Amino acid sequence: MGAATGIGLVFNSIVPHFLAAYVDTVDYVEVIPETLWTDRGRLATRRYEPIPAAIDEVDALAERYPIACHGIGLSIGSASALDEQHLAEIRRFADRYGVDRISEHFGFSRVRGPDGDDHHLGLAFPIPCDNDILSWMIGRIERAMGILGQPIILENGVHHTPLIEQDMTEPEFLNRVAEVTGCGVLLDLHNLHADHRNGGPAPLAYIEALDLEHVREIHIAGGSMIGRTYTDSHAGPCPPEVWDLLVDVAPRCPLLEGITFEFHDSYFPRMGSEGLCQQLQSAREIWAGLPRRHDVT
Amino acid sequence: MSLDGFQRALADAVASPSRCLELRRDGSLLENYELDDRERRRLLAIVGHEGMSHNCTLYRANRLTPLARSLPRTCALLGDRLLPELEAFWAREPNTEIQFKLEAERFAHFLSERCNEGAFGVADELATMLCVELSDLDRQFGLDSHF
Repeated sequence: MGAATGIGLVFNSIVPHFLAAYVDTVDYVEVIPETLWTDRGRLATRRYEPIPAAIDEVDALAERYPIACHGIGLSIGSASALDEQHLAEIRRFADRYGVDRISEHFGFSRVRGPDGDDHHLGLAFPIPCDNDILSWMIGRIERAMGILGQPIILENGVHHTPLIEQDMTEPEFLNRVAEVTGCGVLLDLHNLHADHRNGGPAPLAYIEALDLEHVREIHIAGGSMIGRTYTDSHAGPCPPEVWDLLVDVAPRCPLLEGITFEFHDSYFPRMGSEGLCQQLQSAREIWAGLPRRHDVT
Repeated sequence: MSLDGFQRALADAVASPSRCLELRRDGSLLENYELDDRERRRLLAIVGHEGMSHNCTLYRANRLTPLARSLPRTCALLGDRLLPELEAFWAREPNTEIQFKLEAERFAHFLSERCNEGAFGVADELATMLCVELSDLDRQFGLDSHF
């Protein structure tokens, strides 16, 4: 199977059915490995219980499409000890499917509980971009990449609340981490858009501060309002602002391997197969217009 | 840095809107955590920001999702009792479990205890529904290892 380049779709319960009917709409499928097992936590004697039905679906997709890995469970920014068991399980997943791109989220979603196990917050938070945390994070990323056997790609998250008095901005932090460790960046344009909709900085300010040579993948998605807050809910089609950002940014990322569309399966009825095809086709047209160096395969 | 204390203080605040309000009124409540001065200022800025209510909403939504998707008919059967039972469950189990099957099993165990306490007028129907939906979950998640 070739590399996960071009246009991709994040795996969910709809994707196998959609791709059975619209085979050529994507070049790769991006799988959240944590959807293939039940994780009973660090202290469990038998920690990971596979979910056979989900594995069967991914096995079938892997016969036709390259698989990329998009983890949600590592919590690389947690103050608790680096979860090497979890990394080893991700490595097993990557080896099984010949994955050549493993992404995770830049932030933390777990905290150390009084019982010594991690407790999940249920949502991810950014970590403070301070000098002491930079050196600590570099060590964790290097150790993680050693276990994974390949670079990890870190995704920018959303910020519903501010982190004041940081030593550097998040793009500066990511630049330095990437320079030292060789990790990559997954640039989520919808997360930047969501931050801006909620009163945060303009996405282009973040993008201009980021060294785009580290960007290996771009995520695009849609969102929705919850109360007065715009949420990265993957609720359907990309808003026009995200398409504008993609048109602007993608040509400036010389090592970009893929553009991945994310949608939550519960919102699929709003979009339908035709709507999903349109999103993928729009992304493909932008991909096709990129400089020739992007045609890796 | 005292990142561990910072993250645990933030996690505790996200899990409890009332805790956030208390912190807005009285920042000295952070003295229970190991924090430096900058982290203390950061936390107070976070809990005082309007986006914190959204964090709290997302936290609750993400705790509800595994139950609504794994035990939909049980949730429907509870009707108006769902919210107070969820509040009681979350108070007893403050740690989020994002694994759908595990969270559904925890909630089912909690509801079974509540049935035994005589908390519901529809205890028999509820017990039956829990059995049905937990069996469905076992089939959905499978029992054999081939990964």
